[in-house]
Amino acid sequence: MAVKPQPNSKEPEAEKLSDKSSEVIEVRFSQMKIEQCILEIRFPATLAQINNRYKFWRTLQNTFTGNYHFSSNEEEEVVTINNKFQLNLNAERLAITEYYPSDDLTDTINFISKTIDHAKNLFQTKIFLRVGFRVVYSQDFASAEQVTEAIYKIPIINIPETVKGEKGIFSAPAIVFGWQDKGKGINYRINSNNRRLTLQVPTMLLAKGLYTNGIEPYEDFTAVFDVDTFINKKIRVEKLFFKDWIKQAFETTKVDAKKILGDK
Amino acid sequence: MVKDLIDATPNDDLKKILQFVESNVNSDFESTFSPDRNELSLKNKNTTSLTLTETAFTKKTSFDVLDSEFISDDDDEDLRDLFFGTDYLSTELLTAFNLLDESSELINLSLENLRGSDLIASDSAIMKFKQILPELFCLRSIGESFGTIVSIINTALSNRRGQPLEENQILALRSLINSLKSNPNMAYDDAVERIMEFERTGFDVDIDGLEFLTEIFDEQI
Repeated sequence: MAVKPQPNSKEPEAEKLSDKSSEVIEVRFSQMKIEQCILEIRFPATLAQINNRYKFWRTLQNTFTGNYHFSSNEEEEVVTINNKFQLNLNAERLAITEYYPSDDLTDTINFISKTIDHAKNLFQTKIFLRVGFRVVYSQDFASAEQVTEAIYKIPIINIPETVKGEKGIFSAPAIVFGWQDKGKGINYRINSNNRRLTLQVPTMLLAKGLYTNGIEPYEDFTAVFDVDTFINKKIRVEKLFFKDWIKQAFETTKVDAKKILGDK
Repeated sequence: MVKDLIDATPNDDLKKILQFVESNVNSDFESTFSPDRNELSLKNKNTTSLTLTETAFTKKTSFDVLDSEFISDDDDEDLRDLFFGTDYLSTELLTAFNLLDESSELINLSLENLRGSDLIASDSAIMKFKQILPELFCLRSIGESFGTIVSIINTALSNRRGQPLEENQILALRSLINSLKSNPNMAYDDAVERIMEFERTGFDVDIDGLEFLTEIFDEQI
């Protein structure tokens, strides 16, 4: 299915970025990188959790050295470690996110496993209500149009040519599909993600003669493949072998991902 | 008690709820029913309680059990049901599951033969199962409970001194193996409870000669 890229006023910029994109405009799992992975556990609120939160953060600081940044809002406490890991904690949920982890997730799995061990010991958690593990992959393209074109080429998105209007082009796609049985499931999401970050130059700097042409905005255009594996039933904490569960979820979905995205 | 109520109640919704309670609530809960108020109360030794009131009965919806203690462990569910693929499990876990599967097959074979009155074939299957136990014991790094249960089974079978197992004992053995498949790293208290149930079917789980050693140590103290 050919979807012609829309004429783009930023063509030269797109050319500059062409080294980021693949020569053939296709989504390929082999060219994707892991943007982030997130482990989330949900548990019944316990008094011990409220009492031991401080102890939990202290224990983490003793286990993983680095720069900790603590913040909180009405809903949760947010802690970032070395600008790489982020932990969100409230009375019923702990989420651990790592940005741009290694390809095999070795360090990630160790970090998660130790953190969960501390959490369940200190919070006296006996059951998990839900366990979820998400891996977000992304592939860069030179323009938003290229992302759209590439996503519509994925074999499972098989839209007949006749559906497309003669002059129209498809809009930014987002597809969600998955399966689940009585205790676990997987959700896949494919979508385009166009991010643009602009910075306003303070008047004082302009007056000083700096950045008079403004600061060039940061832009990226990515095809995102989001894999969410989960257990959505009550489970005794000791039952789940976290390292094994994460590893098998990660590796199994990687094999499936190649088939879904049609990698040759 | 709950079973009696199921038989007695004319209300279908109530019957369904009671059946749910019977199959999901641990047996050490005491239940009392007040027919005038349509209220069922469940209490255990730790005074954890659940009260089902008339609203719950008339709403025709299932209720949420608030306290996790009320939910019995999912004994029959194999741990592997929580995995998306077993190819990437650690070697220990993968080997343990293979050996436990083999054990289950042998125990089932033994039971089948016993029910078919072939005592020799039944006993032979148990002997083959016993040969797997040392290998299983080597995998005790999976968890303390795992090692303890495997060790206890080994001791119990050795203490039979060649006598074939009875049907209830084979069933108890099967239940113990299934519990390992379901939760190889079960809490130690759970493991002790299961071992005590196993013991109640007539198995001697004490190591032969241990009582003499205990006496000696007691004397020394």
